[in-house]
Amino acid sequence: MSLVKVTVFCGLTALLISACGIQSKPEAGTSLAALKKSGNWYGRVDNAALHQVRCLKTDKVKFRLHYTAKQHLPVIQIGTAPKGPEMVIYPTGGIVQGLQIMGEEQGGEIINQVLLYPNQTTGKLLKKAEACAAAS
Amino acid sequence: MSAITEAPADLTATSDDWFIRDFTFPLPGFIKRLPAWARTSLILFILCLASAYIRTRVIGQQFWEDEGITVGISSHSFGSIPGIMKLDGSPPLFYMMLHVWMQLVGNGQAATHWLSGISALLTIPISYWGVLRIAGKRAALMTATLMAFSAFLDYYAQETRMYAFMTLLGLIGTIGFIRGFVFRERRYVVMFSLAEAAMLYTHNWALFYGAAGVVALIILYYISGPEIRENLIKDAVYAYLGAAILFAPWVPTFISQALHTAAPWDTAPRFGAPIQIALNVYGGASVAMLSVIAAGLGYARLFTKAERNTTAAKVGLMLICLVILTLAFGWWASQVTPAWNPRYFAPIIAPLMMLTAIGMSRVGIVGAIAMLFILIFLCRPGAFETKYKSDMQDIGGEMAGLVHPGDLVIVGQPEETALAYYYLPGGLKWANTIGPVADPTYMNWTNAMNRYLRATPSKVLPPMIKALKPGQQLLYIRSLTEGTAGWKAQWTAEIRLRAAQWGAIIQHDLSDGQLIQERWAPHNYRGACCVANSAVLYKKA
Repeated sequence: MSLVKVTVFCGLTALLISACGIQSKPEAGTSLAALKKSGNWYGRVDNAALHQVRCLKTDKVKFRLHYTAKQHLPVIQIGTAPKGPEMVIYPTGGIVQGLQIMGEEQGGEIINQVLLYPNQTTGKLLKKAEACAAAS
Repeated sequence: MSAITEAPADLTATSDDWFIRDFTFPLPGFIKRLPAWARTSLILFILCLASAYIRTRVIGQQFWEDEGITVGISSHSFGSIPGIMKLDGSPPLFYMMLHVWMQLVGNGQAATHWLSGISALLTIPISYWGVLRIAGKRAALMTATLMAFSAFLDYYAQETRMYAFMTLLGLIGTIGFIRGFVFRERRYVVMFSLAEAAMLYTHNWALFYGAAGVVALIILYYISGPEIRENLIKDAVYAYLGAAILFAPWVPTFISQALHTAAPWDTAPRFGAPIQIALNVYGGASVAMLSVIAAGLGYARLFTKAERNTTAAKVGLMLICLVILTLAFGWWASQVTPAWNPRYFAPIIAPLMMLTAIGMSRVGIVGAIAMLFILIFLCRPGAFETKYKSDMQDIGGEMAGLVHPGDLVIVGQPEETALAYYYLPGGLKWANTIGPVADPTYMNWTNAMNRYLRATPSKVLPPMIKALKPGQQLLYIRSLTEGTAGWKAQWTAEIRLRAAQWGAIIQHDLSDGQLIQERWAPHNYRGACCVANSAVLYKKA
């Protein structure tokens, strides 16, 4: 085998083993030029429940979306209360962890920034709820 | 058969006759004047010293669940450890060694981490000794350097688990394999056989390493001439038969473990193995790329017709086989019953580092520059160890003064029980989300998934709370199920659910006034590499 072939082979193998560089990619966002102020405004609500709602709709799961009165947190009630699972979506996972650490929310599963209360549900519906709580 | 005591010329060949310039390290005059043995000893001593410095930066750090279980099991009497291992799923050698070690130095965090630390340090002189005869002094020094600063060993030298020891055995086994079968020095066949048996008694991935060795030997037989083929089959059979005879007493337990215990917390691997190797074995993409390119160049000439049949080519091929096939067997087996985790790669660390170093030693200045950059990337104290493995030490610290003998501790993730036991005072009663626990020093993995599924929370927990006397306390320790990656396996998904269901029952009793919440911990959660926990202390009203 020629040296050129070997060098190309080694280079490609190195590239493969290094996974083409495993640096995290920069977050997608508007370029600096686009941020130039014009007459319009660009603020947009990032719906915290977007992915969970989309996932539940795709899975054809019946649910109801409402918001807590005090903090206006999205709450997704799956099936019927109080038996069906319920998810409360917090701004960060850290808040959910804090609630568990302080013993304030012991009945929920922490899934990223979601606190999912299984209530009396088990089986497939709960699995779907868990999968959708993890959707991002 | 004549034993080879010096590395053959083709193995030590550098780039004199090639387009890559050779390289000699510019040593100061007073070192040059030293005898060769003193120079080498000095270099190895410096390597050991630097390695010991890097590998002791977090030597006293807290345990995580596996270490809690390991120390728990090893706390039992020497003779009872094999019986407990039947319930755990691992072979007993490391646990028995740790038992003896703890008799001498105690069961503290730093004390037990040092057992792994010593194994990691031993890989430096042993790799030098082994590779010196296989591929010459330069390759030997390069291998010793890679072992001294291996990211994998940086991590596991400070962990009370068997992986650093397994790496050491993998090194001894690989040296025995190459010298015994490629160089045909028969006494090294015995060394390989003993190392393989010790590996089988240390970690189950020894089976994949052994199987890789069998395939490698078949390849060796077919590509070799009579000088290697002579008695090769007989020696191989004796080596494996010897290991099998030594392992035979453990076989009934091994079969029982295979049938009844497993790793239900693990998931089958996909195609991310190269990334895992780059990160966990080499210590990052940059080191992996440098190593592959430099070592690949070193082996380039061995692909030519003229050098294909040299001893150097056979050594390289055997090392590649041991690495790739061990991983391949592990990967295939894990598709049936998951047993895949980067820490299990311990048996391939030595052959991979030998392969890399021997390759790099053959390309003069290129190898030297590659080694320099690898050292720059790897010589970073604290770069590859995690600072916080678990917060159970903090929980134990906060709760130790608040709990009293007879109080009940319930652990949401069953395998965290031994860890909690290690950090909390004695005299407590123990339970986990499977049910009451008689001995919290180990995890009984026997049919664990089925037992877990049968333990309905509404039937198991209420009687325990009911049995508490007024004033008696209940400490509920529950995993923080951060993220989603670690909670996908059937076992871990069930833990996340069960812990919430048990929590809901406790919360209900709290609202009913049967329980009163007293304290919680940790008050300073710094994160955890592995599994973290929250703990809430309740009192029966």
